[in-house]
Amino acid sequence: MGKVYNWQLGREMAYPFEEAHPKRQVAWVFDTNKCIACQTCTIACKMTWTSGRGQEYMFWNNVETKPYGSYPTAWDLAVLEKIGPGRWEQGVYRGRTIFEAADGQAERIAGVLPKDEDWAHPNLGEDEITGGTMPRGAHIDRLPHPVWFFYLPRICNHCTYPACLAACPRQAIYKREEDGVVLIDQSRCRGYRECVKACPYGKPMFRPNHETSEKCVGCYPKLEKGLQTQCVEQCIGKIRGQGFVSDPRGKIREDHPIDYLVHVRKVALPLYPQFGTGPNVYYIPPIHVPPPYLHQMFGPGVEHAIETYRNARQDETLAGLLQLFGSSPEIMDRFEVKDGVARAWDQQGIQVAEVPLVEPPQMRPAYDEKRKVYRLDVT
Amino acid sequence: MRTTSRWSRGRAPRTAALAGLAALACLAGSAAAEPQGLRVVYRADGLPAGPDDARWQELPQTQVELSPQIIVPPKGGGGVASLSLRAAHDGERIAFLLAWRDPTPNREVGVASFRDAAALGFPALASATAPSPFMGDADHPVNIWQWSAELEAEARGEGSFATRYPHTPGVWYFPQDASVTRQVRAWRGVAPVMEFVAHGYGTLRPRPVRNVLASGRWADGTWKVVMRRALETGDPEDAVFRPSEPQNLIAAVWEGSAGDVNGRKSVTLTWIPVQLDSTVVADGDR
Repeated sequence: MGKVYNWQLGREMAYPFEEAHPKRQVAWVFDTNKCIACQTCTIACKMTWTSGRGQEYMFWNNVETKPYGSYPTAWDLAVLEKIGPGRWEQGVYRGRTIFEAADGQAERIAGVLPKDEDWAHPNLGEDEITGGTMPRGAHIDRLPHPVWFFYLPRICNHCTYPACLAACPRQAIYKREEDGVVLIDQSRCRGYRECVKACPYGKPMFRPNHETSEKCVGCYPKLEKGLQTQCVEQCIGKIRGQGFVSDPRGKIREDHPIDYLVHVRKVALPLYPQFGTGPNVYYIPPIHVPPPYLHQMFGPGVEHAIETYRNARQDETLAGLLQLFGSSPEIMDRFEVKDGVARAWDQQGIQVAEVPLVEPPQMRPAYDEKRKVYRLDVT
Repeated sequence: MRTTSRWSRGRAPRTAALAGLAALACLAGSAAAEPQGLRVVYRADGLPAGPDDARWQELPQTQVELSPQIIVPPKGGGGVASLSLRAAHDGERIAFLLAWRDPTPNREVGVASFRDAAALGFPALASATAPSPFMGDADHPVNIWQWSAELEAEARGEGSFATRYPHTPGVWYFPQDASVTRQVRAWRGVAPVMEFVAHGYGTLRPRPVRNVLASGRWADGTWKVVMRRALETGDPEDAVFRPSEPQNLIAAVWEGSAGDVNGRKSVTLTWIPVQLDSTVVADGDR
């Protein structure tokens, strides 16, 4: 076991390999407040990558309802139970990660192998509420909501310290030097399912007719062309942004969309950071959900993130940046919000997006002279 | 009937490495018995065919002790304590019969279901020094033949994939999907046996050859598997068997119902000496 620094835990942790980082690290920000679980991302991904025989129940991208939904079934509860309780002290996680909770003998990682049927219910728990009932005429007028659920869109986290990679006895899994995308080399994979068991997020998936495991490839052919992944580009709710994230021990760029949300404003948080893999999908937590639940899911920064997000209305830079989500298929490398307009540029410095913070109102006459009809909608 | 007692200690290859490994076997809690040799009987009248061929019973049996794999993670196995080996050659081909107790045949590979399997390994190169018995080392490749129950079932047209994962009516697949699957299966193997070369744990490399034939049968709580190959194939990565010349083998068994796969296996901890009868001597012996 080596020692690596995990900034999400605020401390060093055990990892089977020495610390090493790619030239840059691909990252996503998902705004859970905007997600409506339309599953357009899921289908965009599925049509692109997993439409084959043996992949029927394989969703590299899925959207589940929390707290009762999960795909594969109970993926998070199973791992939380395995690593046991932990607590946060001033931003430092005092508990065991999946690497530290492993017995060190038979396994390097405390993992749980989901069963066949656990992959068969991607809609499990969909739209199930918690916290009580909603009788007829009930009205919620405060935050957080006493009765709630929220949608959690999930893809592979292309972790900084991937458990799948560490678990593979054949070193068939690698993290790309150029962008940090984690891939399974299909020609080396022998379908041992060690990665399926090790990944605490349940994202490597076994394809029984090929007897290999497959996982989200981060749409690397698009990435190489400077384009955002399918799930980001096709998201109709514009909840997603994709780019690269900096290591906070190095230089953080205030004009970089991902760095700004993750490091500068700390409004986007990693999912279950206590697992210890350094996930690189960052979530803006749902403002209507009681913080104790969110603490467990997103760590101690939840209150700050929610407060910052709720104040975005008075915060032109943050509001403008969130407007840029879904405004361009290109990866945005730099952004600026000025005079009520948000603009973004790609890595070549070419402008790829320009969005006003407030759309100017457009009024049309109630009567259409040309067609000789009254309009139902004049704005 | 001949017995393995014919194998004197002096005829089995000995190296310093083997002595060290015997010590390791002690540490592993397994009996540090001298590896018993396997005699490959010369049968001029032809080799026994399938696993049920009665002629196997005429051949001497070598019982090999197996231990859990405890060297590299994922560690495990140990569910199969003993493997019976018999072997014969006819001057051109060599055949091994592997038999082990297994109350539950596991022929299916699903997300969390694992299949039974067994493998033999031989040094791929003639060498004065014995390779590591843990699938070889950098300088000493090991040629591995692995039979597995799910490939056996598939080869017999009894694979369970279609029933376990039925094709839902109305679900449409891209036309090229079937050809991709065929390609993958081609290099993953559809015969009951796959051939590999390894330079130590974690380095197993499948080889796109079909030099070994195999068939397995489960009955009465016992798997019986036959693997057969030409004594020499001319392929530099294939082990060579020559009458009168010593060879060595390692073996592994995976118990699917215990979740055995990859490193979770029951293994031999030392090389088992293999001696092929001379075609002349054995003939006169008859």
